[in-house]
Amino acid sequence: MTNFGILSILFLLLIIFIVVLFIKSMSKHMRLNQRPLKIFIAFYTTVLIIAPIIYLVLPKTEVTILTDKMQKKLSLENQMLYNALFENKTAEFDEKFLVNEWSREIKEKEIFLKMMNPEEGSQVGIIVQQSDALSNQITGKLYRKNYFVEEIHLRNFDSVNINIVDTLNEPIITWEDATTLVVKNPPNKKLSFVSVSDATDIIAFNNEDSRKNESTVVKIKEWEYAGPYYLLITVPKNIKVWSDEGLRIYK
Amino acid sequence: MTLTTKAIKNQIKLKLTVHADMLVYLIVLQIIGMILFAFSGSGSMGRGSVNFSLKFIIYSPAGLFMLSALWIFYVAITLTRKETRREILPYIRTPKINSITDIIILIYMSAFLTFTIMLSNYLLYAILILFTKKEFVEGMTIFNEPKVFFINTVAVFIVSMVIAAIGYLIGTLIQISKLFILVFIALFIGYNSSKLSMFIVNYFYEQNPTFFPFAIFNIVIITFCLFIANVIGSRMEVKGT
Repeated sequence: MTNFGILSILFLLLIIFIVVLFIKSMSKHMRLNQRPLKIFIAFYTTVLIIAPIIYLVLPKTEVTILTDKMQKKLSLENQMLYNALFENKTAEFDEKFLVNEWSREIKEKEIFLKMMNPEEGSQVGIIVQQSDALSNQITGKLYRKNYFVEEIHLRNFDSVNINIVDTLNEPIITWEDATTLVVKNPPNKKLSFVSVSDATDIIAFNNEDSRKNESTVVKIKEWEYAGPYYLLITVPKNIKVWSDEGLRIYK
Repeated sequence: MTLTTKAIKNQIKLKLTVHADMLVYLIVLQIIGMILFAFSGSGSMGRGSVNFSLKFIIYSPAGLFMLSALWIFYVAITLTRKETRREILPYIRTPKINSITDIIILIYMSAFLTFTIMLSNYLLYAILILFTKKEFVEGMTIFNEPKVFFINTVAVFIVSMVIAAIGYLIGTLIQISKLFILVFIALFIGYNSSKLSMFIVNYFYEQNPTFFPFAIFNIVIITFCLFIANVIGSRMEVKGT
């Protein structure tokens, strides 16, 4: 236990001590009548008995925990999107995965792609396609795939798989000047969940399920290798594309 | 109904009435606990990545149990105090009956503690749902894992009985001589820094593979403490009369 932990316990004990002293001094002056005492205890007990029902009935925003079947489906969708991106057949996925789309006329014969924070690891997979069109129109499409946090093992909790794609921040894509397209990693998003459980692991033994995952407190296996976003840029053949990070150019 | 059972029954009734205000202390403690844990939970776990950081605030009855354990310890010590005994002395006939009723009272108090702890957690959840907009990951609750609820209820009861029994023994010994307070402080410090405590905590309270070794170990402690306390207690009563 850290020093801070001990301090918090001491603080707690101090509060309890003060409250107990307060109640004692109160009870000296005012001896609690047996009847109100019984009513108070009965009231508290009744509230506690009703509490689980209230918890069950109240509408709460619950995280959708993915089943194996759901995961497989999402994984398949991701694979199909990945293939479609390289085969120029994304039209059928636009409805589900397209986040936004833009186009831009440029006069120059070359463009530069720049990642703002390449050291953080690419969260946006950039794919450049060359089109046969002779215009100077560049189009960009930002896709996001199913991205979920898989296999979080909290002690005494089941495995939790959550599709978090809807809650993530989007990457920022801007034109720095006439020829430089800048892709900035999405800002970090803080996700906070409440986990409830009857397992009192602090005092005991526990359930066999928790023993399995005892060594793994929190384990996150991120989905696939790349980040949650793809940026598909389509450029006419006569325009050259440069990037310091390297590019995969497909016809 | 024999005379002894009648005496026991009447004494339990009497003692419950005398100690009923103790339950109010427990309720107040639990309300304080609920307010404190509503903000922070009993624990939290998290992990970060490049584009997200994940935090799970965990709510379990463990935190409230820590607070309530202090209460049951206090109750057990109070039962052995000379002042408390003197208050109900006119109604006590034999030390044996007194010991039996004390144990029944401790069982009753532990049961009330267990019941309130396991359910007050749900009151806390309900408050969280009403006043925060956090997303829930349902762990093991009475509705989806009733087995976990019941097994933990029994575990909380057993552990609170252990604390009560230790408190009762300590209280009885302190009645013999106040010097025992010093002995207990020394034992507490010694125990905490010894390898024995590491073994007990590690094996019986953290890594215990199944419920039964845990339960048996604790029941042995309860029986041992209550037995020793009763032997000492009955001798004290004899001396007193």
